[in-house]
Amino acid sequence: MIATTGVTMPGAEDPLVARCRAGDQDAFAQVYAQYERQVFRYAYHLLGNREDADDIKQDTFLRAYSAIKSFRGESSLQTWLLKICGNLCRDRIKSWDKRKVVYDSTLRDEQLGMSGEAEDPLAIVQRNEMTDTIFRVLRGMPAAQRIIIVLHEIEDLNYEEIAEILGCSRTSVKLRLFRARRALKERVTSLMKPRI
Amino acid sequence: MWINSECSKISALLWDYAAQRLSESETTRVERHIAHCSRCTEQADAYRLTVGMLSAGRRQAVPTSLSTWQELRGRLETPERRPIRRSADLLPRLTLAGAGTALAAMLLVTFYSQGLHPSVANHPRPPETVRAVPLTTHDEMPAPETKAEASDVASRTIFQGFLPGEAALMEASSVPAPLTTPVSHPLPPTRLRLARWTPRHGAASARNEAKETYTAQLDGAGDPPRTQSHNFVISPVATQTDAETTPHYVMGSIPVGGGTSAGNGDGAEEGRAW
Repeated sequence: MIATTGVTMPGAEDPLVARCRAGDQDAFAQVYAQYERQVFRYAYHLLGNREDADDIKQDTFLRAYSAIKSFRGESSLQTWLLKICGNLCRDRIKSWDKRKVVYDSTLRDEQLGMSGEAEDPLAIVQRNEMTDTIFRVLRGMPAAQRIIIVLHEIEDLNYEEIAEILGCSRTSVKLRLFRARRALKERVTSLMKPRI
Repeated sequence: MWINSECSKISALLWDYAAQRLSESETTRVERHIAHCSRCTEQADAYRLTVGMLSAGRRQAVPTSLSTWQELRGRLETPERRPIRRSADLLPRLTLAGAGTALAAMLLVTFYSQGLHPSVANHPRPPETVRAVPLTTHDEMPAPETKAEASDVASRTIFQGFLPGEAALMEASSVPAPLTTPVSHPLPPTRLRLARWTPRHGAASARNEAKETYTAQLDGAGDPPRTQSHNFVISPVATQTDAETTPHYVMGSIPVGGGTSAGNGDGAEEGRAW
């Protein structure tokens, strides 16, 4: 039902991880190339702007590099990295101290720029509007709900992986996800109601 | 009742139904229910809208990261990268910090108790330790006619003219130990009186309470008033003749450096004179 991406089988030592543990920077460069986009995307969805997401991404890999020797391989490298990233994002959000998270103004421009194929301009505008709306709603949600929505709906992680990242049980993940989905739906409905 | 229970079960499937993640049997079950339940139909539409918006954002919303592996590699090779802090690492640091604080506190207490700190050393000595009595006997002395006589007068002025019975010199609350043999004063004034004293504190003063630095105002015959600094030793008088005055001291002069400073001996200087 849920797609799983980049998950290593627990128990078997990933040779890439073994090389990273030995201090091989080329191996770590491979890890970086494999996961940097996902880590950045996760940080971006949690923090809402590119500069902070960039900082957190680099800090995540810095921490991973210095702590790779303590990585026991009980979870996948992907969930381990996302866990580090999530913790860093949580610290960053706390440091903001109730400051409003503001998404990049470059978002819309990049979206328009990315659609290089011939596409209906009206469809692009409608999609951009929907994207703006959904992320505005996401940013208004509590961090715990936002994290679980991003992990499951955007990063396509399954319940077990989310449970590893959040440090809770699978049942707890299912319950939290159900509540977060319902909250998101209610917010979207209340936002779109005048238009419907 | 049955409808509510079924609605709650279907409600848990509506998100995955909207995202088309349900199996065929589950999809059929949901569609069968929402066909006759307007409330769940409304819910399903709302979920469909939300999932559709989310999937639109999921595809396109994230900009490109600007940081690169080369930047990270540069930071990896920097020696002062921060390791992950653990409680086990913090313990020795805290112990060291506590020991350092305790050592600094002990040093400060020792420093202050011995009067070694600059703020203590520069503090003026309490006035009740030594009290000066104005010297009046100079004026009664005959003016010297020759230089040798003037020197002799000066010598007597300092060491004999201030003996108890003629004029009280000093009183002290504590009696320093040994008697110092008087030595002749090298200055040739016919008139000398103490203008003010400048106490020296610190280790040397703590070892020898009687040694102080004084500034004497010299008023020579026909010369303009001037001041000169000397170190004097105040020591107890061996032969006391005045039983009512206790204890008495004489001054021996020990010119140390003899820094001369200009001054006319009046005005502010007079105000601070003994």
